[in-house]
Amino acid sequence: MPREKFQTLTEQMFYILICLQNECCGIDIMEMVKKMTDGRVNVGPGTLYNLLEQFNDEQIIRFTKTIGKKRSYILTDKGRDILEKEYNRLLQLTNDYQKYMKGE
Amino acid sequence: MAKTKKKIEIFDFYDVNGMKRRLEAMAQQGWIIDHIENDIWTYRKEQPQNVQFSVTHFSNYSNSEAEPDRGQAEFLEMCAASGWQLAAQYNSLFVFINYGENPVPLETEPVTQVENIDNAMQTGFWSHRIYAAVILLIFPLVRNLMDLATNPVKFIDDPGHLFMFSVIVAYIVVFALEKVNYRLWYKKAMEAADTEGEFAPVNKNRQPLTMIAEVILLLLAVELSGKTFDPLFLTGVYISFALASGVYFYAERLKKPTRLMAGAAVIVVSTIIMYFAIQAVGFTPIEIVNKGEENMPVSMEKLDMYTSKDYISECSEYKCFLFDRYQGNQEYFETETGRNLPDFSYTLIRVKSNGFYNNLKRDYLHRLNSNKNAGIDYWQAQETYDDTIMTYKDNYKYQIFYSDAILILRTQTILSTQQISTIVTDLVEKYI
Repeated sequence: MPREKFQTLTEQMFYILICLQNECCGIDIMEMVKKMTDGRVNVGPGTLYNLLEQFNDEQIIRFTKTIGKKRSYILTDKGRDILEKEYNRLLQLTNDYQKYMKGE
Repeated sequence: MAKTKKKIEIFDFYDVNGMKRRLEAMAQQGWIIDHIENDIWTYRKEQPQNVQFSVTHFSNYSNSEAEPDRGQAEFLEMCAASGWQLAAQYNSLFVFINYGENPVPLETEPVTQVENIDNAMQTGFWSHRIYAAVILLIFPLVRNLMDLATNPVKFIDDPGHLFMFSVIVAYIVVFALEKVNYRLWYKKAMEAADTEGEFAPVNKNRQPLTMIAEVILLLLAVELSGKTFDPLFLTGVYISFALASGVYFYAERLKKPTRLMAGAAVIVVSTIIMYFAIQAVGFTPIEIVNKGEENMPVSMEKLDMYTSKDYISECSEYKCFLFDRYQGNQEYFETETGRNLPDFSYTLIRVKSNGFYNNLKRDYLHRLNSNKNAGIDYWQAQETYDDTIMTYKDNYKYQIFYSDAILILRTQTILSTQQISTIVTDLVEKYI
């Protein structure tokens, strides 16, 4: 069964939203994600474009300006909430792992 | 050696990875995609090479290179930054090529890829077909279904009904097949993407199956037209299909702001063209045949006191695998006293399937019984025959079930059972 939209985030969604805490465009995001993850996570341009459209439609991010062919976006309050929830969820997962697997 | 070559490449709209594989295989043989026009792909000759292709759909596409949609420009810019160059575009279908080694794929999230394909299907591919189907088919379909439900005998009495019905049903079946194929693929693709992280799976053998179904349905429609072996008619059918296809593809290539108006204009113009084309090629499913020297198969002597002024030696003939149908008419009778009587016409339908014939008869009887109070007169003339001749009279129409045939006589003359028996015998002997 497909997950409910944006209730949980994939790695790529997570990093894209982190990038958008500051205003930036798609090409910047691709570079930043690669850098942030030391090349472990790559976002393809097709995926990135579609995710930016979906985030924008859901008001998770908002469009800010266009320079040449580049459009810039920034995270909205709703987007920050989603990112925060995802962070807490991941934290819960790691805590549970520590608790039950490592006995801490 | 040719520098370019065209190939017919048949892929489902959503089979982007099937297209990718094909493009990469062609590149290894030294043929790089140059441009795409529907199913005709043009390749240009280059050195054989291992290059990566990626095929995607971009719903808000623009065909204008000079003024691409802002989103499209951004998308292409992002692709270019990752080494993906636009190699070809046909409407929402975008083909990218990457000459680099191990490039970041264009699509890195399977679920997003499948969602994007689905979005393109809903906004582009399906919507065009649905609108075309609704506009062109809904009214004739409703009318045909109502006629069929109201009176099946009357329905098959007009072969045009059957032909139109089969064409409409063929279109709807093909549309439904494509839709079902797509939904099955989508369900499988989404599950695989969500649970196993697989990208859009290659679609195998769906398109050929759909094409086979289309050809079978087209042949069925031609068969039901009663003109299976008429080259002129066949030419007319294929020209009509070619015209419709041409109109469809041109409409798709128009710019967005003018698409709606142009679409309406195209429908009107194509309807007019089709009308004249149909008129020119004699699209009517009925064929006029000469039945010999004897003018009317029902001689006037057998209708007693009448003489005829204007015999017609021809009758119309229609044949298909379900039934044969013959129709003849007499302009008018003239009595000895010079009094003109209304037209006399007959339709003889020989049903080739016993089951179908019995169903028609049973259905007619059922309707007759349930409509006894609706003014339908009825009598049986079986006492005059060894075999049962079931005759029903509704105003000036006599409907007779005899052997494996249905005979419909239309005249304002009151026929006696003896006259009916003579007519039935003559007609059945002549045609069956």
